[in-house]
Amino acid sequence: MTDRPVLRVENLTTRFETDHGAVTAVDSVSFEVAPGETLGLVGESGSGKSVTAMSVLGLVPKPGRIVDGTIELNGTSLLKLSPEELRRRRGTECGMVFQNPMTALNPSFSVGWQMREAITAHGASGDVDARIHRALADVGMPDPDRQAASFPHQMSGGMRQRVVIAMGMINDPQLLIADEPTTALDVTIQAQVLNLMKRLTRDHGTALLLITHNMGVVANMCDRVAVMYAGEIVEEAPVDELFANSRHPYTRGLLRSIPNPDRPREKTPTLPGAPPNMAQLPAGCRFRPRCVFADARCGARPDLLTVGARHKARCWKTQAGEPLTETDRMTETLDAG
Amino acid sequence: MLRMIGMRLLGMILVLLAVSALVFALGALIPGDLTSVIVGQEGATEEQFAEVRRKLGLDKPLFLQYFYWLLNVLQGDFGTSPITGRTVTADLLQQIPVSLELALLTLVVSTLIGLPAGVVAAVHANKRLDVLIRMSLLFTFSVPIFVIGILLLLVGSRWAPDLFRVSYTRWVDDPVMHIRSMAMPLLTIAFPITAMTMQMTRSSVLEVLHNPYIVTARAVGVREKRIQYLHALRNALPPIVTFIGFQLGILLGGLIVIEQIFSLPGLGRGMLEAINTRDYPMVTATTLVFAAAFVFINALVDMLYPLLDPRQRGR
Repeated sequence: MTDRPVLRVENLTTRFETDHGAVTAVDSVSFEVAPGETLGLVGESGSGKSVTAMSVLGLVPKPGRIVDGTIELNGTSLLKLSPEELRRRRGTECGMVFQNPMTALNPSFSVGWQMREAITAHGASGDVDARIHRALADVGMPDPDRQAASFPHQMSGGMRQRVVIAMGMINDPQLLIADEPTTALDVTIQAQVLNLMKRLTRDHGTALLLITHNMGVVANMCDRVAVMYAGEIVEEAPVDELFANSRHPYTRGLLRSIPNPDRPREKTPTLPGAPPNMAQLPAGCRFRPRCVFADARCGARPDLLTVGARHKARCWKTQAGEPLTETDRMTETLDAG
Repeated sequence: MLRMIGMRLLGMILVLLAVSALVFALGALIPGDLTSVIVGQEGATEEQFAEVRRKLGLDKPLFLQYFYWLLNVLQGDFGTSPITGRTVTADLLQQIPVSLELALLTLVVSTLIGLPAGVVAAVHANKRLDVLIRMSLLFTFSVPIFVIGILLLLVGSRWAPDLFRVSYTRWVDDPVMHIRSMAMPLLTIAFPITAMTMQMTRSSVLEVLHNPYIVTARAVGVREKRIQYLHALRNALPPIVTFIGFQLGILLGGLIVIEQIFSLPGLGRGMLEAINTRDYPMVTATTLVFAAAFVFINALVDMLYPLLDPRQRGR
């Protein structure tokens, strides 16, 4: 029981059938989240990290469709379930926190009413009001009963995100998926909300799948990290290992582009180029057009293979044991950036 | 809230005052006047005309005439019809309930059918069910109501004459006959109104369904039907209610046609007859009642807004 992952995703492939052809937003993605663990899913916008998260609960927006793979939540294969069976697991086994608290709550209903929906949708009886009170107090809302009676528009963004988190946690799920939970918040509020999520998941033993593009958030929150690029996971490692010893050029670039207060802003290196058009992916390694290390091997598509202890990377060079240390070429791009 | 209602009421009174002046002025501007109706077109002497005019107060300045008329109207006295010899108020009290009943029934029926149909169409947007619902309702919407009415009358009275060949009966006289006499007019006018309500509901719900809070509701496991008919529809309501209020205006116009086709002794028919017979007091009275109804509906919709949208309530 303890060894079984809360969430196991294998070969997940989610495709959008658009007028301009099929776009495979998530391509054969596999990962696991252990009980109580926090896994960071990192990448630029359009890398497929949000679609991956939405795929887990079967909430991929149309015209998107999961075309292949397995998703196991607490040992149950979700893709084989009927819509009703899947609905009963939403909120109870897996909660979700969304990016924008300003639009994630229904403007026509009070906060308490919406939390009550989250409880009664699963047939719960008993003292629902007490549970709402406790959940709101748990996310640090002063005067929970008064807050329950207010409408979302009467609250600040930070308060609303606390409500969204309280709603996600109210049925005490084993897994919480948070999709860029602090991106839309003021910087001063971001740390508060992150600490709140850290405390809640620790106290309840909840596993957390944290989707973010912010490496600072990853360092602060996560046990392990999976980096996504162009619909694929390109590197996966424990957080310390990833920061100390990243084995994929893309991760290197991401880590180097974290703004540093000791360095003028314009000297912050950026990754040259842009992510590929998902409808016309380059052959071979998808990062090749932007990679300073690219060579002849990269014309073939690399797999995600073990390159160290609990460390996987999708790069021919590191898989061959070669170090990513062509510092002169890196410096060149650094200056250009 | 109270302040808002007070402001609305004041606005309503001002608008009605302006409408009454306009209605009165229109009556005065039309060539010919009440005297010609009373005295007759030919064979009357100038003296007779002047006599009648003086009796009716038509020799006084227009604004004074309006003032006296308004004073009487405020006391519920719209004058006496020169055609029927009855007081206009007595006629109105007979006609208004008939039209009001038809309008309210239409509103209830069209909303009860139009709202759910609109939600279903929005949920199945651009799939077969949506196209089917929209096609059928678009058809009824495109055909003018007098065509629908006459067709129903023609077909209905042939297939089920007992059901449809009924003249208007008051509820107090015979409830069953009353229902039978109202069924066809209701059916006729409910078609296009339902189609419009459904169309408006569809587009409004469709827009709301794209909102992130709908995904939130799904993510916490709320049942899909509950999301559609409660979470989504509740947010889609404000524009729908505004539109239904606006439709009532169209409905008032429709009453004139419907009551004519089905010989219902309502306000619309009364107005049309009054126009045909140059029954000036009756024309101004019916016009004023229609205008008042319109103003009232609009004010009502405005006052419903804070109820529908919490964001418009005072803190």
